Amino acid sequence: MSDDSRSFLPLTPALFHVLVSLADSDRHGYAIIKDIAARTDGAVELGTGTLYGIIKRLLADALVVETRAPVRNDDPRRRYYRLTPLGRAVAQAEADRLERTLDAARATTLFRKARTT
Amino acid sequence: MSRHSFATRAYRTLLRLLPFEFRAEFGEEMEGTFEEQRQDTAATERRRGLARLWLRTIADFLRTAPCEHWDLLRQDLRFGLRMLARDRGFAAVAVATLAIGIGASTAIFAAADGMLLRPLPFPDSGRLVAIWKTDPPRFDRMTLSYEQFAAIRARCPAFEEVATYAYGETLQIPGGDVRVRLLARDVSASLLRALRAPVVLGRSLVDADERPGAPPVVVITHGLWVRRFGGSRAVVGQTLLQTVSGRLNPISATIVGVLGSGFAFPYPNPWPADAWIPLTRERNDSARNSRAYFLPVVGRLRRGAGLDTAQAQLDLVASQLARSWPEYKGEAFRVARLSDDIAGPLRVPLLAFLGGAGLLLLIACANVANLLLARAIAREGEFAIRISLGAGRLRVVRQLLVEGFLLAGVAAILGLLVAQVGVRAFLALAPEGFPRLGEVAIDYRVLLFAIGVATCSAMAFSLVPAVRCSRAGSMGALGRAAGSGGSSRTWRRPLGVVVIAELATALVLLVCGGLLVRSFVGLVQVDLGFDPAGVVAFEFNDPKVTPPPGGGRRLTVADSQLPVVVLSDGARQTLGFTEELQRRVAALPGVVAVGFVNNSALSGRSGQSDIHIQGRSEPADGKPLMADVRSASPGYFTIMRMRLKAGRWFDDRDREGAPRVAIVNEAMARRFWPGQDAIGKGVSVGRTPASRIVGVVADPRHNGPGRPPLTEIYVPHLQRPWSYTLVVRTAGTTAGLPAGVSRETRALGGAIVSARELEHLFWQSIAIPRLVAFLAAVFAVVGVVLAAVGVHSVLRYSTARRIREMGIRLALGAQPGQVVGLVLRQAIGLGVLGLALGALGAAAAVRVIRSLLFTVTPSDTLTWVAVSALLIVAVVVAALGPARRAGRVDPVVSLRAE
Repeated sequence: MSDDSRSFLPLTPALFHVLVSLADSDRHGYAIIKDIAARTDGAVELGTGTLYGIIKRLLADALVVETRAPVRNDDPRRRYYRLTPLGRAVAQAEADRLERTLDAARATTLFRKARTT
Repeated sequence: MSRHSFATRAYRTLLRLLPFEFRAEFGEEMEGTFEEQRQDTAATERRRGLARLWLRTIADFLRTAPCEHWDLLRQDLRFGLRMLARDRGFAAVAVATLAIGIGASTAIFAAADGMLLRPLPFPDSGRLVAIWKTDPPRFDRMTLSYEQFAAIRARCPAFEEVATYAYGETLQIPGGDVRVRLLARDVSASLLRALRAPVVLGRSLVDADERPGAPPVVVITHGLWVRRFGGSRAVVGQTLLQTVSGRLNPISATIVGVLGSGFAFPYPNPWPADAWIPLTRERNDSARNSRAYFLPVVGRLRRGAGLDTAQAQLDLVASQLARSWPEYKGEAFRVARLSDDIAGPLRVPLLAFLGGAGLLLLIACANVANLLLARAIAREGEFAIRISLGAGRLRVVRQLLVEGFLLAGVAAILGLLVAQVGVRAFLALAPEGFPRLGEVAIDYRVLLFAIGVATCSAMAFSLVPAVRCSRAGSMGALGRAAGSGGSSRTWRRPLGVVVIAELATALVLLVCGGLLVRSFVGLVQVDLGFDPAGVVAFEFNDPKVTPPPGGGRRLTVADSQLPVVVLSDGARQTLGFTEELQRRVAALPGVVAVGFVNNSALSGRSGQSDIHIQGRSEPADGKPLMADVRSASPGYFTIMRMRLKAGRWFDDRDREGAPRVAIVNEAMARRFWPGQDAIGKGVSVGRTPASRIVGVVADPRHNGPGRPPLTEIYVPHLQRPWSYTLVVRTAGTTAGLPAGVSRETRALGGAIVSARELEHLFWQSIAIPRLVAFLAAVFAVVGVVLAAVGVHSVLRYSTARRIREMGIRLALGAQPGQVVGLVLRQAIGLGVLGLALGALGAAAAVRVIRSLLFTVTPSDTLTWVAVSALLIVAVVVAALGPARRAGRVDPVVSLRAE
């Protein structure tokens, strides 16, 4: 994990969700919103204001790039986004950070107590 | 279809919350995304789902929009700081210029706010007024009689309340220590209503309490309630003993109420008071005397009634009273807002200086506008390229505005430091003890003013350069950026116009400042008619007169009509005390001479009495002749270094058993014996037989150099021992004198009440003109310096842009001196135009300050010529640097560079 990717940490939850959403395929704005809602069982519903504020930052930081639409007759207003290698590295770094945090929590009596009851 | 359109329109309205740049990049896409979201939600969750979606979206925008705006602002701030850091010289000059303008205007606002603008601490105080009477030339301002107060109260519907207050009586607590005296003030019931005095227990005074035969009542202050009654609620109904003049035994007055804490009157120097009792004719001697002018009057205007209406009604009452009471003939009532009345002689100067500070700020903003405009023109190419590459014009304008606000923000912080210094200087120079001086401070109101001034200044000086640069996307500008296409002359005109306006404004400040300074210098040089330097005045109380066995001899009416002076035993005791005190004080180290007078010079007090001129009939209008009567010991005149114009001073012959004598001043001699010798003439003071005039003294200005001399008559202290002011001329320091005099006075059973150096009183008497002159001078100097800086900046920029032209002139044979002369002529041209424009403004401005001038006229030629010359000299000095630089241009280098 490069220093470059770690310099972006910690990510806000919404930003992390957007990166994760773009991990498997390129998506447009509404697709990102739907994907996040599906992954979180409706717990996280991004508004368009928040989403495009995040996209603006991701574009400026080169974590995502705009890409061509996969189909020819798509809605011209749609713009598709793709995760860059840096973006992927940042998402992985954040995931690792969250995992370490969770591991540290699991090592405490919080989780041991739950198991005994 | 229409529903979709409505939803789209509604979403587009929400999009407007976001910054323009954000909308431009993502707006269309966001519309499309939201439309998909809306359609899916309508299909699956219908109306309830749609409502939740809209609420979520609105909340989302309300959260996101400020963050995006802040993000953009941060970028602009970083950019602006980088630009200003690259040009530190320009930033320093701009910030310093603005800081002076903001600081000066904030300091003056702090003074004006504390003393004039801030409401008085009474509810709805804007409607409170002061009422007094005037009868020039007898007096400019006088309190009213009870008769006059009652007439105004009954006949002026413009006032919701008319109220008055007087010194009052002493009270005692029944059964308490007889040595403990409580102070009670006589007030009309309307006073507590007019001032909305809060009542915490019982009731306030009512009109019925003033009626004849009404039982005596009293309202006590919160402090007395807590101190003497322990805050007990059972205090209402208890009684206090009230002494009433003319009655042997005190009367019982019932406590009917307790006022809230914090209430005090008059404002801002409240009289100490423990209780307030109703002012009635029954219990107040002066209220029954139509010639006892002892009542200050305040009022509360009815809602919707203005001062003009009130004044008209007062004029009518005055004329009605003059018909019924001859002694009121010629008197007029005047009314003014209480806050303006309290500000008194500082009101006009403060308002004038608010205007002056505004002018100073204008010059500062014009300077910075010029600097920014010149800088913006130099960056025209940069902005042209940026706009051509896609930066919005709005973005360019916003960035320049942010730079302007950055400058104004830093200048505001420095300006507050300047204001702090200014406020301290104001407080140091203002007359001691002036009303509401303690309220002058830098508080939240002043901070808000400073922020407002900084904001308006930033808008004023940033907008023109910003708009100008936003039009820089033209080919011409691009060409200039590339170095081709030649220079335009259109930049010279706006810069020149601004400089001319600055010079005109500076001339206004110079003319006003010059006149006020000359007026003050003239005031200091006015012949006072006496020398206050080295003189200390001590007011004292003599010991209580102890009657000899058998009661002693009292004066009868017949005694007072004898041709020679006869003193009562009490007066003889007082005389003995003063003679012994004089002997003891004269022996103190550093004392040159000792004398006595009733009211010392410059104390602000006078003893007016009616006089009768022997051989002259009484005035036809029935109004007595008045003069200021002073009782003076023989040595007093030489102590004060007054000048004898005719006759002699008092001496030891003028005492009990000798004929009555008097000395008059020149003003009195001119008035009653014009063209004659006043020596030997007779004049009576009050009802006593005539005194023979033995001397005429050169007019002393006892009220200060700014006021004309009074009509004065002096009587010998040895014949009328009324003099309770000890006057001491010292040699050198007066450090130990007060202690020594106090000690000697106490040894004789008396007490010193106050000690004041007359020279200090002299400076206090002209403290306001001094303050005004100082501020005017500072404003004028700062104004001309700022204007000169403006001239220098414009000429520097102008010569830099005309390098090629200068090079060509020199190459064609012009001498360097000729090029220097060209630039200087341009500067003088600006100066002359500024003078012409400024003369109009100055002519209007001097009308405002006319009332502040004492010894010069508004059209004083010397002042106008001198300050005009000063302005031209400042312009030439400012132009010297750029002119010499232009003369040193190397034609070869300049032509090659172009």
